[in-house]
Amino acid sequence: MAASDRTLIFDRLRKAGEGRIKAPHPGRATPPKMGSLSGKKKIDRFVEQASQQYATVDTLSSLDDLPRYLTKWLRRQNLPQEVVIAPILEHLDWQDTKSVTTRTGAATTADMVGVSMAYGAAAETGTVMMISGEQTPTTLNFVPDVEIIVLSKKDISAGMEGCWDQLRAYKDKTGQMPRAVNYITGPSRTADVEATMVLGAHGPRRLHLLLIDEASPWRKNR
Amino acid sequence: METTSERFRESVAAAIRDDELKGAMSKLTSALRPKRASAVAGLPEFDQLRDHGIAIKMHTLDHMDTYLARFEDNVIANGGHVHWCADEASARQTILDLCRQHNVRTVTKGKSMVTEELGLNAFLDSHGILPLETDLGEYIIQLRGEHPSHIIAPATHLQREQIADTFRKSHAHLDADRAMDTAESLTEEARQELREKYGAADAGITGANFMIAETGSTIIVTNEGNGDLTQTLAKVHIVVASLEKIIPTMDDAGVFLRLLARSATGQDMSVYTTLSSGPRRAGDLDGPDAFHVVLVDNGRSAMLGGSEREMLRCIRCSACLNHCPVYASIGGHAYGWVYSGPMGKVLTPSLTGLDKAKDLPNASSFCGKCQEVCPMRIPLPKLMRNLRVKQTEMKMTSWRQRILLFLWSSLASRPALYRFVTGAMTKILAGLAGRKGVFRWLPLTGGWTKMRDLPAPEGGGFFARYDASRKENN
Repeated sequence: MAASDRTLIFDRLRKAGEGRIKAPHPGRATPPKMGSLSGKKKIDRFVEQASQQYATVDTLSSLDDLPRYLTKWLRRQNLPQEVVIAPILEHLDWQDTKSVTTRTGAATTADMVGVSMAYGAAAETGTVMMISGEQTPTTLNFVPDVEIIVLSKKDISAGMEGCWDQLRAYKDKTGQMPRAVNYITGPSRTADVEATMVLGAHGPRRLHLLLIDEASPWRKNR
Repeated sequence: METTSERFRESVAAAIRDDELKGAMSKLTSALRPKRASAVAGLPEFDQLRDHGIAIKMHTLDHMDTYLARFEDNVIANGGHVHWCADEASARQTILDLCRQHNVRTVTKGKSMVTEELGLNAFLDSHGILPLETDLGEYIIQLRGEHPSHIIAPATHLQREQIADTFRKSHAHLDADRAMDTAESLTEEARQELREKYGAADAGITGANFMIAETGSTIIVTNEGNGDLTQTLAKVHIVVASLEKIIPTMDDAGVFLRLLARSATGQDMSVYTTLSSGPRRAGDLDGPDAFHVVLVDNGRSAMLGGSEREMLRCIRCSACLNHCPVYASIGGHAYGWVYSGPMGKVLTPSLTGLDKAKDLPNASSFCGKCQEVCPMRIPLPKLMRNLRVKQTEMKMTSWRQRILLFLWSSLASRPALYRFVTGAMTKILAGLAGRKGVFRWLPLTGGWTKMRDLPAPEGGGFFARYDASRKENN
């Protein structure tokens, strides 16, 4: 049945196109001005846009500081000192913090706080780009109540175009796309009840972004 | 899904008397219209991107076979499967077969309008498979046994108190005295109810906003995160998508994403945009074990060769619904099928048959707002007019309408007679109305005069005024 449906559909599609002058592809679009910034302006735009979308943004002096930073931050936010972390962050000195308990891997509904690492970002809209894989499980982006994402400033593109280029480079190198690519702009929300915006619909209630100056572990491996 | 578009007139009559609906609709339009306007104003290149997006769509519609074949090759290369379905029956059976193949008993669902076309939930249910909608709006209406009344805000016809009532009945295990008077408390309750369901589901079914031929990826765009939980935590991910969702490249997706969120909710970017390219890979710690894409024609290829071809450019943003004075007055259910508003008035007759939905293209004041806000500049008024012409040609209209049209065209094509008759009518009506200048009642105008007075013509017709102004100027 399936094979005959395929033939039938292709026959119909080809017949519908018979005798038509075919329109050319218009090519790559010119990105808008706000998606073409560089340098400090680009980073500022990212922070401004992400904040406008209800993400909170902070800066880390280095990735090595993450465990100590988290201890303080979790305490300040009155959150439990328990986090599930992406394997890409496992090499950090988590013993040093004493108080934070970490588990490495995919997230479950029992996890309150998840920590992962972005693969890229678009300053235009304050969006981070996450990829799936053994280093960064996708569930960390959606299951915990609080999602913390570390992002290297070097990985921030001006607009989406830079992200597509990054994905194309990934595909050229590994032979395929990541199984899942998640573009994330702020925490989960809905407006399904009386068009009133409520944060924390099904995904994370909070999104906390941590910027670092140094290259990400991704880039070191690239 | 069964259509009740044939009973459009009765449904409209009921809808305009529904005060709860009226309250809910005004909340939707007053929230979304200004949001879209400010989001569009915030991107100076919006119109350029619009034209670029349209050019991509025109090219893609001309090369549907090529890009769909490329998409299929790439899905297979990614380790996924593609299933082609010519119509509703074939699509339902294919999805059921997939569920049986993977021993699926429970299904979580992300928002998908094409599965509404298929009446998939009722079908799966009748075959012992339990579907659970996870988008908040979809969850609410599933509990109520209703269908979506809006393509992106499915429960927009409801007020908060109605939703609280539904939850009170459906979530009987919760404390009866709990607070349920805010959007926050209702959202939180649904969040808690659904939280454990994603991982327990055997399959997750989602739709697709776009399919990228270049990479074999399907894209979903959401704000809640339910679609991602659905497709990440279930053992099998089944994507159901209609053919026209295909686009050539990732860069093309960038163009449409910039248009979609701004037109839909007035956001610059929706919270979650996810590309799915196949099942879990070696070493992955999460993700579905199997990935299927069910491609549904169900009338699209016929539209491609027909006069409603331009409708296939639609990216389902809902801007035309949100700005339509008719939709705002009657809500989505009155339209009688899956799609409502201006896009529904064209899509429903095209997909279910004009004879089943002939009143829809007539229910328009042709104000043109839909075409103005459409990111794909779909000429919706023109397409509705085409459908009106078609039904007149096919003699689907009532004998009363045909006689009136015949009389009108006989009159309008004879200028001297036209001037005489309209001139006389103007004078007679003005005379009959008297000093008040309005009619409280007049034969054949009951629909108007029941609620308000009908103003009488005054100061002569167009030609009388035209002649008078020429004389004055000379």
